[in-house]
Amino acid sequence: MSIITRANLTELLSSRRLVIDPILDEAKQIGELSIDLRLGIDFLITSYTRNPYIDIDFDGKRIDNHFKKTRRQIGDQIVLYPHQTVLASTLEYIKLPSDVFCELKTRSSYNRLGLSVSTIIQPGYTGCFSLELTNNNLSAIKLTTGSRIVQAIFHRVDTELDYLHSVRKYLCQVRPVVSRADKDEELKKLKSMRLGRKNSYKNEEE
Amino acid sequence: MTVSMHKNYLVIELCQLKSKLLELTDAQYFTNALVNYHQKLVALVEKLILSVISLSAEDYKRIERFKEYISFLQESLIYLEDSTLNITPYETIFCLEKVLKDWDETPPIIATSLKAGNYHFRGALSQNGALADLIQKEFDIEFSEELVQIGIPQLEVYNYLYNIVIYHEVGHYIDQLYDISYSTGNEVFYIKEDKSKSEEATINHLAEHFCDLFAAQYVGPLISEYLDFKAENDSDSESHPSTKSRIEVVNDFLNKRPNKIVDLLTNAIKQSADNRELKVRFEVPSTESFEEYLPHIIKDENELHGVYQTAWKIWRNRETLLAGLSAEQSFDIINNLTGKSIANYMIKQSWKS
Repeated sequence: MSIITRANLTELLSSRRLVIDPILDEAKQIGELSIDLRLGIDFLITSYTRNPYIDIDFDGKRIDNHFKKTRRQIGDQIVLYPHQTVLASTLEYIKLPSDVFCELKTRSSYNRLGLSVSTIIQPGYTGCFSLELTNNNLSAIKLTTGSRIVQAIFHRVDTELDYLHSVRKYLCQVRPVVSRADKDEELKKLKSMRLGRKNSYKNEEE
Repeated sequence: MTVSMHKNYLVIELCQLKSKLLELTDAQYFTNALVNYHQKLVALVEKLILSVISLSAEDYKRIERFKEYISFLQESLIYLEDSTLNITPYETIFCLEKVLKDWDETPPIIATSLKAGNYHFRGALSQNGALADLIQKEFDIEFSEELVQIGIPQLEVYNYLYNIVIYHEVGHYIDQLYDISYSTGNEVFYIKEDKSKSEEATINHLAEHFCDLFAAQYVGPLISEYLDFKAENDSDSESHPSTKSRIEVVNDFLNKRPNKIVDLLTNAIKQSADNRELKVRFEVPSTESFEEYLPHIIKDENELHGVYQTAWKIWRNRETLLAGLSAEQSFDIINNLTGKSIANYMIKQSWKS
């Protein structure tokens, strides 16, 4: 496993094995070890609801209800309040080669503001990258859509992986999508184990 | 009712309008043009209140005019209020702005409404073109740009495959702007003495044919396919021609076959719309990018309007072109790729400028 450097990144882009669209400023975005990506225009913002907590359970209440959709135009701004989580996505649509995975990190300048993103994207992924932004600062932060907020570091793996043809929860996304943690199949099993235990305690008491 | 009694009602309505307009002062509109328009409305309502208060008992004739101004303010307010939405379909508006530039020297400001109901596209001033002049003369406030509202049903706000319907609705706005169906209908009815339909039906039918042709210029046969889906068995009525004839007119236009209605409207457009012409204004991109799960890189405005046909082509053939995916997944992917193709073109244009 090795980091792909500038010359090879450019070659991957020219051959369209790696697709990133749009790249608005190649000189500024493509670095020696990474490619800077921009903040997109669609957001899902956490908000207070009548439900006191987000319930990650099989058949639990919908997670969507805890988020509000909002959009901006490129160059517009959005405020992140302290400790608020905002789901965003990259402005760029990306298709990774089947033998390259990507490590996504906040650019240093944004890390220093108390914003952090650290995600791994699987080989073959296609769509805009999801950005889970949380403001860890005590002050609110106003971000500009279209600004270079994260850097993508590309690593080659030794086997080709077939991302598109395996079962995926997130495919060709162009705007942020609420967590589908509640759709994990094993939650069904875990729930039945929990309920089974409750019933057996109840029977013992009776 | 006396002038004094009218004044009581007019002042209430104007105060209500002023209060609502001021509430919207800090609203985040999606264009500066809407902010400027809003400021002009505030100035107008303030001047109207002063004018109404100063009306004398002899000013009875001016009452109707004030009612017209109030209607205009009310209509504009509805448009603006809906435009503070934060889920605006920018991609759709971008396509329509390009269409309007083809047809209007001073394209209107577009406001959006995403309430339940049908697709529509209408202007606040276009119902009464002289009103802007009157406002300027009387109050020295210039509404040089028309404010139009695109209505998209809330459910369809990000359904780019249905955007084709709005192209037909824009046709109604252009028809009104140049008086195309009305003047042509009169000519058919009185000069050519074709009285097979009532005068109103003649005008209405020509208006619908014009809008179908207008849409077909940009989205091609998708407009007739949509008509076939929505109104397959509809026959002639006072308001609409039969679906069969509407589809025939569109298909004749696209296939360059002779058709009397196409000829009639082509001539009318040349005369009324400053020599503009009905012509194909799209180029259909290949499905190659979508098949690779990638947005298409749109090269020009013809492809911008043509990308809807690419989307529909792949949607119709999803079982072979996107094999192994459920219908729901296929729709999401095609729709996302269509929206992103338009968005990327829009972002690149904006970055260059």
